[in-house]
Amino acid sequence: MSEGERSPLLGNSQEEDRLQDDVEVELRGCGATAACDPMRPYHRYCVLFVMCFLSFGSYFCYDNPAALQDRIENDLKINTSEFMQLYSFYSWPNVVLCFFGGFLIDRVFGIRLGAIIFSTFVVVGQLLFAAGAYTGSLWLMCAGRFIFGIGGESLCVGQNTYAVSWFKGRELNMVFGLQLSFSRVGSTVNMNIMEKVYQWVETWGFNGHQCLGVTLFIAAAFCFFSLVCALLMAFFDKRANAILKTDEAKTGEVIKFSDIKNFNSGLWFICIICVAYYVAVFPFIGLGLVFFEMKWGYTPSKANAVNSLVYIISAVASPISGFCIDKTGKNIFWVISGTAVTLGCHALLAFTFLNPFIAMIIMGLAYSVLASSLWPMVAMVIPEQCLATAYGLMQSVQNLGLATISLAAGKIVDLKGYLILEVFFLCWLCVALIAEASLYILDAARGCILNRSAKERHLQAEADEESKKDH
Amino acid sequence: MRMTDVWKRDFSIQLLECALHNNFPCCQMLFQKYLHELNSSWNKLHTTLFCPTEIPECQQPDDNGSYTNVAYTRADGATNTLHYVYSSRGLPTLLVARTGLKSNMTVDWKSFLSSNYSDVKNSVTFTQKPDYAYAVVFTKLYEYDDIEDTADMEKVPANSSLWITHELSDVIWENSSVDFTQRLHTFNFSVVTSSSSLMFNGNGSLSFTLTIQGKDTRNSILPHLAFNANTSQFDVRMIGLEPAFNSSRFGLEIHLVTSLPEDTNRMDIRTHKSIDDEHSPGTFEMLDWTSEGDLQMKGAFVQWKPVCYSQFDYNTRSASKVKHYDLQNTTLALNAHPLLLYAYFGDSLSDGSLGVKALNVSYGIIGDKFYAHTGYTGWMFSVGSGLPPSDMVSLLVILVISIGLGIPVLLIAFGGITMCVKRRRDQRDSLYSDISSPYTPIQ
Repeated sequence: MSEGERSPLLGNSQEEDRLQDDVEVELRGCGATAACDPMRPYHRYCVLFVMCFLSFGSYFCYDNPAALQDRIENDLKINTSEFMQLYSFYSWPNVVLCFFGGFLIDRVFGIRLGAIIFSTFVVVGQLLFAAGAYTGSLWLMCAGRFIFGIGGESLCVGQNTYAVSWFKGRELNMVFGLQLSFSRVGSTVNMNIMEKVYQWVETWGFNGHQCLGVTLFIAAAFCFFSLVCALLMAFFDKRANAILKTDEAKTGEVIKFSDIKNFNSGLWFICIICVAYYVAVFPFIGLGLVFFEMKWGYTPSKANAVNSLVYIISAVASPISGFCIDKTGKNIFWVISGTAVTLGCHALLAFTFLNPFIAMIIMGLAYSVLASSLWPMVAMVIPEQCLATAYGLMQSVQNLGLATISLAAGKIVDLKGYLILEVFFLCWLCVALIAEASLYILDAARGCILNRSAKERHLQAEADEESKKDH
Repeated sequence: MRMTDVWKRDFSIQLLECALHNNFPCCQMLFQKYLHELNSSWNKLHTTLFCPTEIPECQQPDDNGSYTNVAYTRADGATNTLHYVYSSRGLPTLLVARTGLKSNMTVDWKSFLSSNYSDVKNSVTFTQKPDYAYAVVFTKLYEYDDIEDTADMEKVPANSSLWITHELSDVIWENSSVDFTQRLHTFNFSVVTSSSSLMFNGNGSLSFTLTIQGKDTRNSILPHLAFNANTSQFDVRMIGLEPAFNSSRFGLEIHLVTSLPEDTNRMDIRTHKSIDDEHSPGTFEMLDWTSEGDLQMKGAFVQWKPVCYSQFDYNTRSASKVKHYDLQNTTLALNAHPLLLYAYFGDSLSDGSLGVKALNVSYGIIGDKFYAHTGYTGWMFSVGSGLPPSDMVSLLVILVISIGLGIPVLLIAFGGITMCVKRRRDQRDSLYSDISSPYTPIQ
């Protein structure tokens, strides 16, 4: 693996060396080097690199329409509401689809095949989308987005599941943080280069919707790249399992549909927190531009700079905050503080004229703390064979929340203005806080699984590892 | 007599401020204003006069094809009467005069409509001499080529090739329509004058709609400006004007004329910021162009929010900005054709005994693809005397904040306390269980 040099130098090498002694399979050639040996942390970081690019393509292409909004509207001669269909065809089906995607990963495909299938959906969807643009037919583009959506969100579920299976009990929070930052980087890169790609394609002599189509075909290269990553992940995962013999150690239990209603009640609280927190951040950013322009009199470019701060900061800060959470543990504590700080930021934006850069920077940090501590908690309450279903469920609930609350938020702004909108978001954050407090109490009653410190968690991970081998 | 809660609260805050500064005249003035507001919290409106049908000039356009639009309404309050006269003759002008009760306005139509300006002088009179009058006059429509997309008239060079000034005295005014509905103590009075002349290349129109309510309420149209007994509102619309430049934006020049001279009647513009945008979503500022006046409430104001709308459908997405510029000292000479003013004020229009200032505003926001993108600009502002109405946080907002945030905070606080108490008790219990006897004497 050539990426070996890029790997961060983290991890507890003593512990890893001890693990290596227990292995019976002999590794030869490249397999014996640090980068390729599944027992070594280096190998995990190499895999992490591939894992992060797994859904890079789908994040990149998800925001293609936004990056080319003017071009799409002009080339296809559609208005803004028709343009918005490109997003609704993606998001509304995913209110249920990624739940089924997760269930299918658990029940039918397994994670390796699941990731490959969903990556294929992403590629096919993006190709249809591009073909629709090339021929100038909006319905084909919408169909493309729909197929793209089936793949994209379920692929995220697969990515989360991979992350847990490789990093549980180790650097899971950081990995979630890193995945988050990759998703942000994906959409930022898209926003910045798509227009240039379009102009570049124009110089080849394409114009109108044909130029748009060719541009989108080029963007599909990222989806292909992600598909390659899915294949690579399948290879690595299979190889690691063969060497570590974790496949044989599995109990062979398969999730049944009825298992869902027996899910740990902690998961439902995590879902509530997820929805209540995310709806207070993303729909706000969706409506933020006018808010900053009007309340602080900013120019559109300055308002855009403030508005995108949360994204930019979370891209940088998420892996770092994930790393800190790995070192300290106590996930619920971090989730509660992330929510409380976000609440404070929203209150500052709502009730004061204080420079919004301050509030948005802090909110970006709080968001990255929350995102990298919330998602790994699912892995702590749900058994491994149901994990993809649980992540799928959580993502579905989140999509439902975001879709409906975004509509509601738009209405509130039109009817009652930004102050009431901010109060609305503050109420959601309060709901999140209450759910977090309840989760904390529930968890305390069950022996503090979620709020363990890092040390306790390491011990637990070792114990799990041991018990797996004993099987 | 009913007085709004808004005014009461406003009054008490201001009174507190005056009292805190030990400013006795300020308190005294406030009390007088308070009494005045008390007496005029609503007015009965009567429309008694339009340009009469017997006068042929009223029904026919003049030589240029422009109609003479004159409309008049009086608002009878408890202690005085406000006369609103609105006409497009010369320049579109609203004249408001305050007299005692039971006075009437008389117009010498032959003189008023005469093409000889010397006849026009003092052709509008009142049976009682008004103790105070003010007027709002629309004088110019600016069109400028905003090549740099700054949405700022001051940043555009005063190069004549970038500017077109449409004199509103040259505009041909269409026959106006008057629309009023009468309910209990409520009276809507609106007049539309619009123009469609060669200057506007065919279908475009510029219209000024005046609405008087005579009571405390809010306009149903965004940005929902407040009415009180002494205010009227203008709705300015520029629909389908054909821009002369590729990046045309428009601006308007407005004059405020008061019967008090400038030295006793300092005019300036104040900006009020508020965190509350419930009445006009996305707009957090209110601008008051006030003339201070004196203790007898002889002050006029123009009030607006810095928001206009670029589509017929008014909402936060179609909202655009209104930018204002510094007030200018000016006079309204007769060659600018302020005929309604001349008809009432006569020679005092030019002898410096009136307070006159001009305001320029421009419409549009950076990146909106200029006026031509939507071909529509709609802007509202209020005109009145006395104190400008101020927006207060409404009961709804207070309720939503206190319930929406209060209950969760209470829940969290209550839960936290319960947890702490429980933990203390558990600790104590475990302490007791460790010790065999509950009575351990403390040494």
